Amino acid sequence: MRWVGFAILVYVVMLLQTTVGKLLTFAFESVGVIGPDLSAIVAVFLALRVRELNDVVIAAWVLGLGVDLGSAGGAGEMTVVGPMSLAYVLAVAAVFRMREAFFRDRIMTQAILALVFCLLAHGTWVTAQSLLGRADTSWSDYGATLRQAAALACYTGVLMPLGYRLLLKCERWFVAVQAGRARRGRMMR
Amino acid sequence: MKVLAGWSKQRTAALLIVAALIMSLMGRGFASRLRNAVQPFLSPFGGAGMYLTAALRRNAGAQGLSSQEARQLREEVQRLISIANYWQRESESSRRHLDNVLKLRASYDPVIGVDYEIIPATVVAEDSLPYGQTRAVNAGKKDGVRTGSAVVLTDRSKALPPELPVVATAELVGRLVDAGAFAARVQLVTDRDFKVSARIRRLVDPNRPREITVTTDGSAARELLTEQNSVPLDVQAVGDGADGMIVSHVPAIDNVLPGDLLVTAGDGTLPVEIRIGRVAEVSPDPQHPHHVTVRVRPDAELSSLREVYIVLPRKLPPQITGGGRGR
Repeated sequence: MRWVGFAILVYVVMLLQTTVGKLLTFAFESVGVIGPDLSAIVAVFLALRVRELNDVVIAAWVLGLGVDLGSAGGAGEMTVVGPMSLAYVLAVAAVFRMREAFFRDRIMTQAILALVFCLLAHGTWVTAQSLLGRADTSWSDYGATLRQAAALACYTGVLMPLGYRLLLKCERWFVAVQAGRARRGRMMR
Repeated sequence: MKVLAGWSKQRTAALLIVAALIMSLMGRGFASRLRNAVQPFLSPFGGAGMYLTAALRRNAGAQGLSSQEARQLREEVQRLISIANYWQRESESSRRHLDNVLKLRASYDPVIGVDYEIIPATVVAEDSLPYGQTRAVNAGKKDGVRTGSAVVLTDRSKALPPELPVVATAELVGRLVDAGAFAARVQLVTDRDFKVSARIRRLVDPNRPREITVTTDGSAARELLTEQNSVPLDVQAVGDGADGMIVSHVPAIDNVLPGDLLVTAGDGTLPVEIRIGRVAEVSPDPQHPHHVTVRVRPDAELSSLREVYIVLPRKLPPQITGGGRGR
């Protein structure tokens, strides 16, 4: 990983997700507000493209922290910082393990893995935040937020192929060694 | 040095996971401090981003209407046409109607003798996740803001001289749930965890008469709603997590109708009546047959919110609004 480039990417994604990215949100009476998780798109991209699991885990932790710092609402009056880092690490590790079973350049693969990532990460986050703020959260709130998380996961899955292509264009700024590339290089020698 | 030389990414990852666990357990106070420390770094570019977002949303809203908004507009137009016809036929009644409107307007005029401080702020970021409805603003404790303060929009902002106590026309947009040195966080009225004591003010409209149940000396009777018997209904309004507010358990006999106003109850941290929104829909409560659920659409355009005003009462004013009916 090229960590300076990655830090800039995280900053830009945080800015986009808290400002202009909100143009992609929709409000439904039945589900609530639905918007994409742009950080999840970056995390899934890294899980598919970066060679080392440790690099992916550290990057996911940073992205999760960014999401937690940029969001205060959800369960109770204020949410705590930390659960999204853990949830991202858990979800990215799962996607990293799964990637061998898929062709990473297929649109369907990217969409499904983003869906799985978001279901895992946001399901864990909503559960953790509801448990930590259980004094302010009822079962119906928990159920409604989980439903919202499922809709967010579907929406992010739909946008993932587009995000993947955009990130591919600037990949060299934050990914030093791609998955599979170094090994292939050694075999050639 | 040996420790550093043997340090691996695996250890770093493990350390970060432990740090995340500790941060999670340190609670909301720590989270608040951390967010307030980070917010100033995001604010400069966040302000530009929110300007762009608000401008695009406003323009998008101006160009196209949803089917529901179009239906509401058609209904409104029909209502206005019937009001115009009514005025032509019944000039005397229309003069009474005008008197009612003027009286209603007078009830929202500036309240004299209430000491307020109004702190302007700009929205610089929204929530990164859609579960909550909060906004980060660029005013903090250094500007004198306090957690729990009401946040309003006002059309009198530019005319406000320093130290002018109260704004005349305003809409409640939320309240402060967190305040750091340089930034604060506003919980919008549509947030699922937003609760406010409010009042429903039923509009007396001669073109749309309605019956209510009035109890006098223990006996109930059905009467037409008039200026005299129209008491505000004390209710509890909560955000619906999307784009409106919900008022539950409103007795059906009070005959609340779409178009009625939801205003603050005039207690707590905002001891004046300020408009929150308008009743958009009244539906029967399936669990309580004699009650209805009221859906309110906020007056403020929350999706393109930019300039807001934090209202700090310097001291609690005397009771200034009419008596509501306890519930």
